[in-house]
Amino acid sequence: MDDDLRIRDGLLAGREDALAEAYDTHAAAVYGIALHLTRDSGVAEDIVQDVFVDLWLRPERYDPGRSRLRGWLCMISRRRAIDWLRRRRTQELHRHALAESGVVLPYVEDEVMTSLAHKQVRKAVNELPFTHRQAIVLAYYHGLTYREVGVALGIPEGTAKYRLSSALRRIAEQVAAFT
Amino acid sequence: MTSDGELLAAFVVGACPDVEGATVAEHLDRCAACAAEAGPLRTAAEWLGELAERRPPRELRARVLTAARAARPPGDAEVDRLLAPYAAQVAAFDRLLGALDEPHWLRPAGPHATVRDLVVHLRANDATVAGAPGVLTPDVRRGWRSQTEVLVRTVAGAGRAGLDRPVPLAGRAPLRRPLREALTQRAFETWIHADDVRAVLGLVPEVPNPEQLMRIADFALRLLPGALDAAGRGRPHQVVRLTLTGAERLVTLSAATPATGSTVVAEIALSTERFCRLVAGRLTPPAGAAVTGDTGAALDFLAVAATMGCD
Repeated sequence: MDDDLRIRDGLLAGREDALAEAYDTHAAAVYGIALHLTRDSGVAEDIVQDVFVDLWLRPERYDPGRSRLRGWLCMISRRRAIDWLRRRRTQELHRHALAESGVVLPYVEDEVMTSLAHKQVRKAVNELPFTHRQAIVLAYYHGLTYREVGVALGIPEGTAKYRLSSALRRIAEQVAAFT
Repeated sequence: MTSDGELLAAFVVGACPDVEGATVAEHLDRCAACAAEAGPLRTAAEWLGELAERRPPRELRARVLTAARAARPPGDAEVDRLLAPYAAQVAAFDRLLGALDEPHWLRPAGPHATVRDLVVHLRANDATVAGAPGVLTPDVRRGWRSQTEVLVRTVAGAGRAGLDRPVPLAGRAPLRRPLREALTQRAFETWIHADDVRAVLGLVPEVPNPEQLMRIADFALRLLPGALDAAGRGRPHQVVRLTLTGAERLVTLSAATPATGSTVVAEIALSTERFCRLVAGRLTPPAGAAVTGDTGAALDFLAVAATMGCD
């Protein structure tokens, strides 16, 4: 957290080394989530560029008291990827998501260092009941709204919302245990 | 809406339809209970995002940095030299405030009735340089901190030319000095108040590095002749030789006459740190200074220095 604060102070002061440090530390996470959602490396690269240029232009938007810089950047990357997806046809989105059966977690390359925390989050997701995992993966990694999750799985939207919520709460409990 | 915790989870992972999402966002701004509930869910969602980590193509780095440079030119090294010590004090002070619990905020700090008053005071003094108010919030820590960010952003944005712009200094005397001096004063005041808060927490005082201490001492010494005149204790044609830690300065005892052609009437020796604390009004003169020569002139020098603080 102190590193996040230091980087942010550097960005505010317009120090380029702070931006380079932010990029070197977090670009893989930002790129990974964008690529996973869009399945298009060109689009994912554009998103990475937008995310870091925005961070450089408006570092004050990041609140170190509320989240870690990496998580925050990932959220923005993801939001942009979803915007891009939603500009495309919804039908196509559903088919694309279902083709994955909606239960595949992102594959992490061996060369990328994964922390113990990563492993614990992955384990928490894998230990979810199948139907709950399906809901969170469709929503989180495929950018579906809970209504779309309902349509995709052929379940009422209330059920989709419930599964999504209880999945995220379970993960939050596990995360709270190691943070 | 508190009953619909399920909607909160959907919102946090961005799985609400647009209109509904906007309603939830609005609600979270007003409802502390839901905002608190959303916190851990948001953290969990952020961790999910990191699972997808994948190294981007090598050439993307240069592309991103070039695009960033085009969108906002990097800061100037000279500006950074002055801003960095201030930013370091701000970060340290913010950490200290984060360590305070409710009763601490109501304890006396330095000359202020409460820590809260001290932060409000610091914020008001920063405002003279910041140029624009930060976020208006009843949370004094956040209000102060956000304003420091406006200050840093504004100063960095103005570049080297901005450093010579006259701005009001904090303190009893209504003085305008170049921004570069005001920045040293902001770092100085933030350090002193951080030590006030350290005292509240029972922590030992901290000292900036020697280079920064000397910059603060020189800032004060430039103002001292004028302050002596304003206090009616100016002594034209007289000079004090001040020996600080590893440095010596000749200080005229009136702004009306230059040092050249004046006579050294007294010698004062004390550490740079003690001199700075004296100027901040945190030590009582003579503050352990070793004095030789005209004792009256030396004591005037020290007494007026002790009135130059910001509170």
